[in-house]
Amino acid sequence: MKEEDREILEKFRSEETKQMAFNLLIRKYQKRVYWLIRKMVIDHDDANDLSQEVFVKVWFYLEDFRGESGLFTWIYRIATRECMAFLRKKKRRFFLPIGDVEGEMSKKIETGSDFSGDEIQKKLQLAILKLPEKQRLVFNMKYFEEITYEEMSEILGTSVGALKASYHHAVQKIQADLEKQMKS
Amino acid sequence: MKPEHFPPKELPEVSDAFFSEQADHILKKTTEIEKWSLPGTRNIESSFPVPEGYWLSLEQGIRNRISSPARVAFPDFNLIPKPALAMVLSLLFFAGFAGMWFFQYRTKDNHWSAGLEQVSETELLAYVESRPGFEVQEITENMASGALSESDMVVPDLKISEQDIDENLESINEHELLQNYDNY
Repeated sequence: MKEEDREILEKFRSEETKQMAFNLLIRKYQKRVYWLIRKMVIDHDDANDLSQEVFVKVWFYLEDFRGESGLFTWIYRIATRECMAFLRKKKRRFFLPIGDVEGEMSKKIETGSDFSGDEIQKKLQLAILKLPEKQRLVFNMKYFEEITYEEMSEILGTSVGALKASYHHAVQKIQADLEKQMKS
Repeated sequence: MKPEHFPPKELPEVSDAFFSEQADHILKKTTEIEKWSLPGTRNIESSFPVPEGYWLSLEQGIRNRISSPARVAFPDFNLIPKPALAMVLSLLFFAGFAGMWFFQYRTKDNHWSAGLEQVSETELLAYVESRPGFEVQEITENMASGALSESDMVVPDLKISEQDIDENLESINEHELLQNYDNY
């Protein structure tokens, strides 16, 4: 665990410095957590709600954190679980075909209500949205966040080999989809 | 018997470098995928619009959620799985319903016995005497069921003298009589 995180943890365990430690933690990780979630849910309001929920959980459970993994890994694990649970819940709410949730997110990117990137970025995001959720998460973590497979393995509780294979498939699918998009 | 001789299966000629070439090819492909990227798409954050001053409001939102009374009282409330929550709520509902029914029954019972205590023994005995066919137990049962009310206890024409009443009183164990009502 990084020295800075260890210090945050120590301060969090003392009643006098608990608030200060939590402020430090929020400032250090809020952007990374938000962007991880935002890339998964696309909508800002949903990302905001989920990010807040992640830090509320951190506040309530940080004292029980044993420090077996890095603090960042632990927070990311909470964030990914919240994200997956949210998407699953959203799919259940739609009742109709499963693709509707992805369809809704794609529409937000196409119309530009939640996305202002250029054409190639838009095409890439649309291709990513066609991936299954877990593959999308792996791709986002590896491609945008540049998280190592070892760290990812701790966060997602999957083997490094499976993550490599998942990323490999994701890249191939994205390439194929981009080619299709370019042709059309 | 000598086993039939089969000519050795013809295998394609493989150069000594074949396997190392294959390994190189796989490695190259993996590295390609590892390094795969679309120019200008890595820094995707700038393509997702975020309201101005958002990070401060995110911090504020987290603090508000943590200090909300519901969160303080039930930090884990939203972690209860939905079916378990539904079961707990229905159990609470039935327990509440049963409690209300029991309480109402007991109150009615208490009210009735309180009312009975207000009826003077003289009146009660006179009533019993005026209806020779009735048993004390039967009368108390009727009162309990509501078939007899306090107003029915008024005996318009007492055909027994006070002396008779006194004699009767002596023959009846007062304590036993009240015990009957209490036991009911």
